[in-house]
Amino acid sequence: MVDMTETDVRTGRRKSTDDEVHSHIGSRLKAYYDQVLTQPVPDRFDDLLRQLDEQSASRNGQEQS
Amino acid sequence: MATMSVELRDEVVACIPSLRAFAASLVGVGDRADDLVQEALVKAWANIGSFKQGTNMKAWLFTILRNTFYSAHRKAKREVQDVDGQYSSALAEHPGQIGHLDFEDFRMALDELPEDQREAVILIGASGFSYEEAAEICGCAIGTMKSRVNRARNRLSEILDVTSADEFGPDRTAHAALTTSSVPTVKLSAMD
Repeated sequence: MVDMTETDVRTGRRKSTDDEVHSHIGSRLKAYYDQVLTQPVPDRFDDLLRQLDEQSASRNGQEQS
Repeated sequence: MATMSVELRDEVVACIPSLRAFAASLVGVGDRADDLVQEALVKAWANIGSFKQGTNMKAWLFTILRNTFYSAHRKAKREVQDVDGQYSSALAEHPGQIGHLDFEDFRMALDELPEDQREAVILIGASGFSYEEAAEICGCAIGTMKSRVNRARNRLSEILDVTSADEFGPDRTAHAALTTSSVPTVKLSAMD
């Protein structure tokens, strides 16, 4: 019976499978991305949304008159 | 002229954190990423009439942001340095997340990827899009998207050197013990 687990000849350690590597990379990628995703949204966006709302409101007013 | 309804506005606002994270993956963390998000939001407001009700708002916004990036920001260099340490200090305020070194390592690895592979792996692996949605956002075939993601993952694992199973996984301790006990043997044979 052949051992299907690939072993690194030099270190004797089992080599990880592609799936293991990919899921490891995947969780690091997610952790990296979530650092920014979970940050509070800066105040500048509140100001921007207010401006955009005012613009839409005045445009609607013009269209109705 | 179509206007931004309250429902659509709520959907757009809910996407701002995702847009910031995607922008940061394109231009680096910092003001330039937020400038990009701001530009995309202004365009979204102006073009809300072209959004098809019932379709994926997040994908629509990501497409706008990506187009904005490629038309205006492509030539500018990626903001790779944390110039005044503001981001490091921002991270320090969020204990319990990944360490700063891990974050830096990963960011540098991402920076080494070609642009198309980087955005592919971010869209699929982090932003939660399907291959179909990501392909639509990037204007490429689904097969192209799949191969970009695969190449990106392989390249990242090369750069981060996660080739041996003891880098992670449940039997980490056993491997560590094995490695330690083998050290004297190596030394002895080296002295022969």
